[in-house]
Amino acid sequence: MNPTTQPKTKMSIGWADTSRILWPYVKRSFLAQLQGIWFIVAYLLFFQVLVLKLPLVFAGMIAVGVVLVAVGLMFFMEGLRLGLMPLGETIGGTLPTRRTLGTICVFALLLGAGATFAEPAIAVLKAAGSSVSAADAPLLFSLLNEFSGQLVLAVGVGVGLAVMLGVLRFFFAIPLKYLAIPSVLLLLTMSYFYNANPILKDVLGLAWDCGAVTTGPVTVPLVLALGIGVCRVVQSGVGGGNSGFGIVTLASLFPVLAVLLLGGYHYSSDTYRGAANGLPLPAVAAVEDVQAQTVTEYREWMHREDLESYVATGTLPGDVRVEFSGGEPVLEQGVIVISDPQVRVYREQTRRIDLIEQPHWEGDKAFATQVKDAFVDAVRAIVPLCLFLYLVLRFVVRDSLPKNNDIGIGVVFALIGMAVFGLGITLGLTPLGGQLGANIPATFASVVPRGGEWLTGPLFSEFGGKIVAVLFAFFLGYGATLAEPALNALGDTVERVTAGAFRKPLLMQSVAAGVGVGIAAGIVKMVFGLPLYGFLLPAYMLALVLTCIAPNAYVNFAWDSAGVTTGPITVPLVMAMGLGVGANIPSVTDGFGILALASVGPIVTVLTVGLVTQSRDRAVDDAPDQEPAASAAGVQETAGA
Amino acid sequence: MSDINQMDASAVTAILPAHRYQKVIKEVVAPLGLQALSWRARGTLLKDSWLERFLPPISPGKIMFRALVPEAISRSVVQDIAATACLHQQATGAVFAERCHGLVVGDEASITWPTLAANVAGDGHALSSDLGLICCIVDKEQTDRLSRAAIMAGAHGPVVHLVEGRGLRDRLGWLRITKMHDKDVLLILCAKSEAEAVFHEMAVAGELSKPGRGFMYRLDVEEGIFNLPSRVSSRHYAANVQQIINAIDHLSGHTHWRDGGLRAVGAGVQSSGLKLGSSNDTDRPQLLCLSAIVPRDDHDNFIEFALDCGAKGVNFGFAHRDSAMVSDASVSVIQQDYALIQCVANRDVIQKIRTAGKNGPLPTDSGDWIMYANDVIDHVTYVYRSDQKDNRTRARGARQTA
Repeated sequence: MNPTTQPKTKMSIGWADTSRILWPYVKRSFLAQLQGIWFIVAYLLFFQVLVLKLPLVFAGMIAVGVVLVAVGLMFFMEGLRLGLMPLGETIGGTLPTRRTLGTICVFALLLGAGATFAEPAIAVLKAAGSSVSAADAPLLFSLLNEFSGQLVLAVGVGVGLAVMLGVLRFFFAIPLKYLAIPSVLLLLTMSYFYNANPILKDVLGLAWDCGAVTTGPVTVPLVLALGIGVCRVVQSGVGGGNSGFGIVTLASLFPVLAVLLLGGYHYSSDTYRGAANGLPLPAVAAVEDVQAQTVTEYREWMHREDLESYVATGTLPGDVRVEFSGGEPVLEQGVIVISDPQVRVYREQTRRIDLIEQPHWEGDKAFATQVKDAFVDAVRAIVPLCLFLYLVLRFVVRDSLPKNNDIGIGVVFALIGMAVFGLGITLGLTPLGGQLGANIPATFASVVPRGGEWLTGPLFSEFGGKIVAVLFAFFLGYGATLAEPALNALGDTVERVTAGAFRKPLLMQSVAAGVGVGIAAGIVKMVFGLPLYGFLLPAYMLALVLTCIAPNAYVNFAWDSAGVTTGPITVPLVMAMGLGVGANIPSVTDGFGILALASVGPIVTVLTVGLVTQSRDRAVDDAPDQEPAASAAGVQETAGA
Repeated sequence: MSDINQMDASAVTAILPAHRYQKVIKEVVAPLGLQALSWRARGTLLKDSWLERFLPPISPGKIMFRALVPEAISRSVVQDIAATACLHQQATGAVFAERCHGLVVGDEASITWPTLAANVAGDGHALSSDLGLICCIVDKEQTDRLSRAAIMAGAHGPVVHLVEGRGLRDRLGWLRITKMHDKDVLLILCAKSEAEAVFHEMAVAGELSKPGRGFMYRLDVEEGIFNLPSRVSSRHYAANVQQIINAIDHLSGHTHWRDGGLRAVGAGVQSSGLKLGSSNDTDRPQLLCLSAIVPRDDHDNFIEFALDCGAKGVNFGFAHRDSAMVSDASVSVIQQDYALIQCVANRDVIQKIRTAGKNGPLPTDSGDWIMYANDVIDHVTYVYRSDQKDNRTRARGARQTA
C-alpha cells in the first residue's frame, strides 16, 4: 500500500469538541495580552481616582474599550505569529537565493517606503505640532502644513533607504555598530549646528520624533521577520543566523536625517512661512489665539447682556456661581441669615483644558463611525503591505506559499485584531489617558481639570507638582510600553532567535524602564523649559559609548528596541500628556521631543543590562580558552562511569 | 551511494559555547570534510527569586552541532572535538556519539564520508561509555520545573533548544492554529546507570503521564564526554550541586549513596497511562526514534509522509550547514537551511518510512536527505486508551503529539 495515494485523513469534529480545543488556546492568548495591559490600565485608574482624586468620566465606555484592546491585541499578535511574520520570513529566505542583489535592494526600498505610507504616523506628528504658531516657529509650521506631503515623502525615502542598507548589511557582514555609530554622530553634529540657528532649531524636535514614530506595529514585525529570513540563507561568518536585527534601528535613524535635510533645504531656499520665497505669515489674530490658551486666570467675564437679562427677568443665567462676603450672620429659627452681604456673581470657568484639542478624543462621534474608522485604518495598514509582499513572492521570487500555511488566517486575524484594537484604543485608552494627561497639569498649574470644577488651585506646590508630573510620566511610559504589540513581537523574536537564552520579560522590562526614563526626561524638558538638544546629546553619547563596549548581539537588540517603543498605545497617551503639559506652560511651543527621548532610553537600558549580565556571567560561564592542563584527571569523574 | 547505506555510522553531537564552536569547526570538522549541521541552544539557569520572574537571567548561549561519521572513526572524532574544545574543563560542554541503525541516504545527499582516520590531537581523555541521552519535549512553562527535577536527581542542567511540532492538531483544519508553535527540548546526558533515575524524577515532576504535558524518551549513547554545568544558582553557592555530587561520588567511589533519595514510581502512575521500566514490560511494541535531515523546503513533504505512515507526532527544528568555506569568508555565502526532523514511533511505522526512502517513493522534491534510527530505551507520555470514555481527555491529548 502506498501511503501517499490514500486520501489525507482529516479529522472532522463536532462543535463541542471544537470549542473544547479552542477554549484553552483563546484563554492562553487572552491572558498573555492581559498580562501586558493590566499595568497601564490599573495605573491610570489608580492615578486618576486615588492620587488626583478626580472622578472618572465615561467609565463604562472606557471599560469596554480596555476589553476591546485586549481582544484586539490577542488577534493581532496571533495574526503576526501566524501570518505576517511567516510571510516576511518566507520572502526574506527565498529572495536572496532566486534574485540578484539589485532586485533585493529595489524590493527593500519599496517595502520601507510603502510601510511608511501605510502607517499614518504623520497624523501623530501633526497632533504634536497642533499648537505650533507660525510666528514662533515658522519653518516648523511650514513643514507641518504646506510641506507635509514632502515631509511624508522624506520620511518614506529615509525608511526605504534604511531597509535597503539594513538588508545589504547582512550580505556584507557589517556589524551594526559600524553603521549606527557614524549615523548617530552625523545626526548629533547636524543637530548641534541646527541648534545654534534660531529658525532651524525648531525642526529638531520634529525630526527626532519622526525617527521614533515611523516604525509601527505592522512594519516592525514584518521587517524583523524579513531580516531573519535573509539571515537564514545568507550566512556571514561562523554561527550565522545570529542576527537578523538592525533594520529597525536604521529605519529609525534615517528619517531623522531626511527630515533634517528637508528642513535645511527649505531654510536655505527661504521657502518657509514669512521668508523671502515662502507664504506670508498668517494674520496676528492667530498669535493672539495661541496666547489666549495659556491664560492662567480662570474667571470669565460676565457681560452687559447678562446684567440686563437679570434685571429684566430676575433670574441668573445657569452657568454662574454666587459668592458672598461680609454682612452680619445671625441664627434665626435654625437658619443662618446674613444681612447686608456683598454678593458677587461670576461666570463659571469654561474649562480651559478643552482648548487642548485631543486628536483621538472622539467621544461624541457616532459609534458606527468609530468602528468604520478603526477598520479602515487597519485595512490601510495591513492590506497593501501584505498584497505587495504576496505579489513579490508570486511574481518576483516566483515561489508559492508553503502548503498548509496559516498565512491567510494570520492576515485575517491581524486585520481583525488591528481594527478591534484601534477601536479599543479610541474608546478606552485614549479617553482614559487623555483625561489623565489633561489633568496632570492640575498638579502644578492653576487650571480646572475636566470633571474637577470644585478644585480651586493646584494640588501640589508648583515644584512638587512638577515632580509628580515627571513621576507620573515615568510610569505611564513604562506601562504603555509593556503593552506595545511591536515590542511584544520583538521580544518573541529575540527569544526564538536566541533559543530562549534572552527571555522576553527581560527585554520588555528593560525597554519599558528605558522608555519610562525617556518620557520622564521629556516632561522635565517641557516643564522646566530646557532645550531638547541638551537632552539628546548626552543620552546618545552615553548610548554610543555603551555600544562601543557592548557585545554585538546586545547592540542589535538594544538599537532595535529603540524603534519599537513608540506605537499605538504609547503615542496617544504620551501625546495627550505632553500636550496637556505644554498648553499650560507659556514658554512651550510644541510637544515634540518626548518621543525622541523615549527612543534613546531603551538603548541605554538594554545595553546596560547586557553589559551587567555579561560581566557577571563571564567568570562562571566562559572559562578562559586555555590549553588543557595536564592534570585534568579529577574532572573526568564527572562522566560517572 | 548504496554502499553508504550498508555502512555503520554514528551521529556525533556536540554542545559547545560559541567561541569554542568556531575553533572546533576550523580544527576538526573542516579538515575531515564533515558536513555539520548547527543550531542554537541554551544552558539552564534556574530562577532564584521571585524578582527573576520579571527580570529573568540570561541563560548561557550554546551552539549544538551534529555530523554523521563512519562508526570506525567516531571515537577518535569525539576525542578530537573534546580535546579541541577543552571539554574536560568544568562547565564547558559535551560531545557524544550515538550509533545510527539503518542509515538511509537519498541520491543527492551531499554527505562526505571521511575515510582517513581522525588524528587524535589531545592526550586522549578517557571517554565515558554507556551513557544515556534523555530528550524531553515540553511547553516552555514546564522547562524550569523539569530542569530543577533533573538537577536534583544528579544530572546536569538540561541543554534546551526549540522545536516545532506536527501531529494530530495539523489534521484539524483551521483549528491547527491552536497548536503551540515552539516547544522546548530538554537534553540531558548522563551515565546509563543513573539515566533511569533521572528519567523517573523528571517524569514525576513534569506529570508527563497527564494529557497534553509532553513527551520524553531515552536513547543509548555509545561514548562521549560531558561537562555541562548544573546551576541551581550562580552566585549564592560556592560550588554547584553537581560539583558537590561529583566530589562525593569521587570520595566514596560509587554512586549508590544517591539511590536513597529516589522516589519509587509505582502502579499508581502506570494506571493513569504512564508506562515506565522497559525491563519488565515485554508486550510493549518496541519504539524507534527516527532522525532525518531534510532541506528546509522539503520538510513539509517529509513530515506529511511520516504522519501518513502512522507516526503520532513529529518535531523538527532548523539548522545551518557549516562548512570550512563559511568559516573563513568575510563576505557572505548563500546557503539553504536544513530541517532536523525527529519522530518516535513504532518499529513498523519507522520501517515503512525507511522502506519508502530505500525503494521510493519518498515524496520529497530532492534526493538530498539522510535518515537513521535509534532504539528508544524508555519513553513516557500520555497514552489515550479507549476504555476512558472521557472525550475531554481525547481533545487535550491532541496537544501531546502536536
